Amino acid sequence: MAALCRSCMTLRLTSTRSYITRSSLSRLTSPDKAPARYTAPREIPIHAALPGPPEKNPMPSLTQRLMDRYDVSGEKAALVRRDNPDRIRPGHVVSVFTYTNYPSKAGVSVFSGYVIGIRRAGLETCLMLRNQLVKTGVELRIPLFSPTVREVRIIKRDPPSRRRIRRAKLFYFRKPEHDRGSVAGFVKADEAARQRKK
Amino acid sequence: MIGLKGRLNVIDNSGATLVECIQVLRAGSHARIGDEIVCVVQRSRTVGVTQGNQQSQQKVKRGDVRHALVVRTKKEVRRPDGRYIKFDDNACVLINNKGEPLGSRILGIVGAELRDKGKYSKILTLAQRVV
Repeated sequence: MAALCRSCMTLRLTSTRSYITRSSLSRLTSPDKAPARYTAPREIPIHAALPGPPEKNPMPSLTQRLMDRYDVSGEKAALVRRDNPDRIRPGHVVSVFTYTNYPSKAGVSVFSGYVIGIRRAGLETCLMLRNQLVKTGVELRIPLFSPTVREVRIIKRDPPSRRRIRRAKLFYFRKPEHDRGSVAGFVKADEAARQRKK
Repeated sequence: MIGLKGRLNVIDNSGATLVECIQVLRAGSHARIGDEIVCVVQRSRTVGVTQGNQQSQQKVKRGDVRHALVVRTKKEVRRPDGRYIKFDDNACVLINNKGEPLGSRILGIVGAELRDKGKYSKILTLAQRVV
């Protein structure tokens, strides 16, 4: 800090700093006025709050919108709805028809198999199917509401009474002693029955 | 997901029945369906009565180092439409450097991922079923 020696009108530096700042000079030259320190502007603009998101959790409404788009008739949702007595259950034999070159509806491929599990996850609900093709087990997990899935057809429902299914996930089918084998016989029988009906 | 020491069944008639992977020809990860590997033949079909006839000589024996193409994996593979497919075993087909199979027949199913690779059309036509 610098001080003016009024007697000899010299600037005496009284601080350890060896330079004069703007504020210290202004204090010396006009000691009676208020020091030229920075003061905040009187008006601080306070803006209105931005509108927040329309809803706190957007997932339910988004899922509903996508369901309306991908499952217009509600058939696919009915296949896995828990209160539907005709829903797909583990142990059923099911054929899934998918478009091979979506969005073209020309080519359709089929995969049939035992339902060994249903993964219920809203729009991403998946069916897990297992079949034996040329003596090799093949498992396919198919997203039910995918637009590439055209149709899910239940081929066979109830297993023989001595083989009642008591699990939700039938991963024990992978073991050789519980493997049900190929569903080709059921698919063929179902196809024949459909042809006879026509 | 086939890596070093992974064992695969051989499903062609080249002579080998079981191979062990020693190198995955895919940068930095494990082999999936449609990837090539270098493998060592661990078990091969016994020839039986050796006849010195060209046709009855099998092409590969135990200890041979060959290239192979993975055609089935136990680890599920994702398809572009969101489906996942997995098989009950890991299987491969022995191939040469150009991608042509060493055997003349393929017994069993192969994964449809081979179609995306482009150079395995011969294997796809030989296979009994493409899933």
